[in-house]
Amino acid sequence: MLTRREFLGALGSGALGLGVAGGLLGRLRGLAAAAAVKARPVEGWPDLVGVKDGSPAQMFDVGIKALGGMGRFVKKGASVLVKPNIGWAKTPNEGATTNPELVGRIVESARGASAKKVFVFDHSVELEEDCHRASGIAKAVRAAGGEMRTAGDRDDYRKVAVRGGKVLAEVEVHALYLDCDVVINVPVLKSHGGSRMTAAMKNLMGVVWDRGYWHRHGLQEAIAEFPLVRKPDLNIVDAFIVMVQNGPRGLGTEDLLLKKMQILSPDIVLADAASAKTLGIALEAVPYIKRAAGLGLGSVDLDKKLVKRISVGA
Amino acid sequence: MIRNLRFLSQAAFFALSLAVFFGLAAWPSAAAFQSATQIMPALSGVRWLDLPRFWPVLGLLFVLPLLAGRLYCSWYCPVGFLQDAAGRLAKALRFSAKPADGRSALRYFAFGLAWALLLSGSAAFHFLDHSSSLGSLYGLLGLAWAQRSFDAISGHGTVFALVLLAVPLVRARWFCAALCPTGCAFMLMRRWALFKTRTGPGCAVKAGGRAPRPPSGRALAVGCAACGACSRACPVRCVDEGSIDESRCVDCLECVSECRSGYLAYSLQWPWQATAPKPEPDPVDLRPTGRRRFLIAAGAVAVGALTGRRLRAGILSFPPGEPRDGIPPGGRSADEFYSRCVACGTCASVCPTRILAQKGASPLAGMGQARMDYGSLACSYECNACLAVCPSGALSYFPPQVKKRIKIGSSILKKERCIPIAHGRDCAACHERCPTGAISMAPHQKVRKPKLDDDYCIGCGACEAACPVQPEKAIVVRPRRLHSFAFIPRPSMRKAVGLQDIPRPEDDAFPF
Repeated sequence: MLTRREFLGALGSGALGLGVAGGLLGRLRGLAAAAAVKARPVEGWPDLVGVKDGSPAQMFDVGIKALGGMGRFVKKGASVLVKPNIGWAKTPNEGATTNPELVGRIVESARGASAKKVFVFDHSVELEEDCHRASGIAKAVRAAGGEMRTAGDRDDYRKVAVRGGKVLAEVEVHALYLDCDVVINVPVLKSHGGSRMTAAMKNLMGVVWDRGYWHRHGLQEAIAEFPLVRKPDLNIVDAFIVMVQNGPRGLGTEDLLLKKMQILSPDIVLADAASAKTLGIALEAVPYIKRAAGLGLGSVDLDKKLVKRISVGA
Repeated sequence: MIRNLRFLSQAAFFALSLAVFFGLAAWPSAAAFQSATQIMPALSGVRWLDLPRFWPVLGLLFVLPLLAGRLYCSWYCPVGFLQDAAGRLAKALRFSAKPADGRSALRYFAFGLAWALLLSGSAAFHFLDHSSSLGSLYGLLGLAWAQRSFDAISGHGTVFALVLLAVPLVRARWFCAALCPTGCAFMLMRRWALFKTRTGPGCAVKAGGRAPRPPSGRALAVGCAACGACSRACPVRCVDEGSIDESRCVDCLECVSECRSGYLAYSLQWPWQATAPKPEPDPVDLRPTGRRRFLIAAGAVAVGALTGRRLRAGILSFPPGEPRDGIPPGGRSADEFYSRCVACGTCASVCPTRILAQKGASPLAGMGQARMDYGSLACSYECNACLAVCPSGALSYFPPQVKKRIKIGSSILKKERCIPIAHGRDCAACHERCPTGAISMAPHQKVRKPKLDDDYCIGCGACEAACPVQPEKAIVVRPRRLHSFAFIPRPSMRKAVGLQDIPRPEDDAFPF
């Protein structure tokens, strides 16, 4: 006959055993996964990594590992610019700005790779202070040990020539974008009434002073030509919440889809090509992508490139 | 003791006025209280029976002089505080200010003029009003600080700075005695005050050599020692050896606390009780007295009032302001707004985007009044700071979710200048900034052009500010003279054009 005490004891030890076993199993699985991505693949690092079904920070951890780790991009003592979309005085769940958790995680990761300084800024469309606060990015960056910078002072910008630019012969660019050793571009994926889509390339409009010039003289051409100044070393497209209509500002939650995705690529054009497909529009609908490819800034051919697809949830 | 207490009280209310002006919008109750105490601006809505939130405070301030004399002027008013401070400075520098003339025709003229303007619905009374003028002075400092320049300054604030800080060095509290329409009203009411600073008949001992006679049988005083302590203490310089110039006394109580003989007192006297006998008229003093003085004062008030009405019908008649001058949200209509905006600049000082500006040296009517400076700036959609701080009620308060719907203008698209329509290139700078969904993008040849829906447009000017077309913008706001409400943005009903293939969330595979 089992006494009550014995029964409870058995129940307790059984639960303990299960817990330990589960923990060990998870640990082992993690180790295996880490080992799998640590070994450099024979055909080289993937050109693009797509991650889905995780939290933004989680997907970044998995994605950057698949790309070879942050150490591949950020060398010891490097100065790093992380350029998210902080253009709007909107909260993270409104999908107009980059997820703050993701930005914080990237800053942390760059710091972990022994970066000397990690700067974050965006030439906001709405009032900068409101954008910094509402988006939650300023707080996340500070918590992660990064440095928020402002972009409202023209003195911080430098005029540079765009070699090969037709519409954009010269452009005033924020000094940090030009001077930092590493640039990590962290856009949020949205539809856009003018450029059709805002992702990696469009996000760089936030490092220039006079955006009106782009609108006046050819938005599509200017977006395509700007990376001729400098290509970001890494593009991380936040597609966790995707604004599929009424972008880039959005009118309400009806404009958003929860896609829980992330696209990481050193190739800015390839990142935008994958973003267009994620947004659900044809490559041809976003004229600047092919134009940028024509300028030799990257490839649009997702089929010919090494694309790694990881589902965190599976 | 009294002196220090009074200084603390004045300084505290001065600090409150500064705090409200320079960004205490986060504490609307403080701002609302401050508004209720600014007598003339707070009363500017009386034609519409629109009184400030703390209207009992305003009511109390209006009966206070009948009960307790001019405590408002001496213990509350920040304008009085600044003048007292200048007076103290003068004293410290050892050149004592002379008394101002409290019975000048100018004072009664200003009184008649200002109140006639207010009651006939012209905000031009603000040139004479103490709180509005202090606002212009703050505005001057605030804008100079914000813009790091002295460009956007109303001339009025500069003049008032002199009146407040320089004139008191030579004439004690000159503004209160010579111009302030509120002070004049309070002075007239104070005549019948139950409590006020009073004298015994002791001065007569010195002046006429007659024996003291206590008024109405009450032993009020034993007699003036003629020690001169009261005149040394008086910040207004209205007490001299026991005689008070009633036209200027603000009941600061400093003389009372200094009087060693108990001759000066802040005491209760019912109106039916006899007053102290008047001293014999000084044969050397040739100033008019008694009935003649009353007639001059009444005449000056009448001339002032008639001038006010005349101005109101003429140079100050509606509609004032350029049609292009937008009325800020909460202003309701041109009529109400322009008759109540006292040009204090409080709204401009809290505006985060600086679209709220003060009218410069245009005709008298618009001088210093608030306007929307469309062009390169826009009214922030989420913000209602200006509505929360307006002391005169020219802008009435609405919570953010209501303010977001106030339609202060309509955007007009000039197709011949618009980049997608005229040049066939993508742009959408206006659509990008539009917070309400009033601008959507419609297919046009190979690109997309903006399409306006006026039902949703609130006239915030975001589109105009964003429009890159030069030198003349392709989309501009036409301000409304009468505000209304726009529709609430409903994106579900306003599906963007050209996105036929919206991927479904349950789509499991990678799209690339």
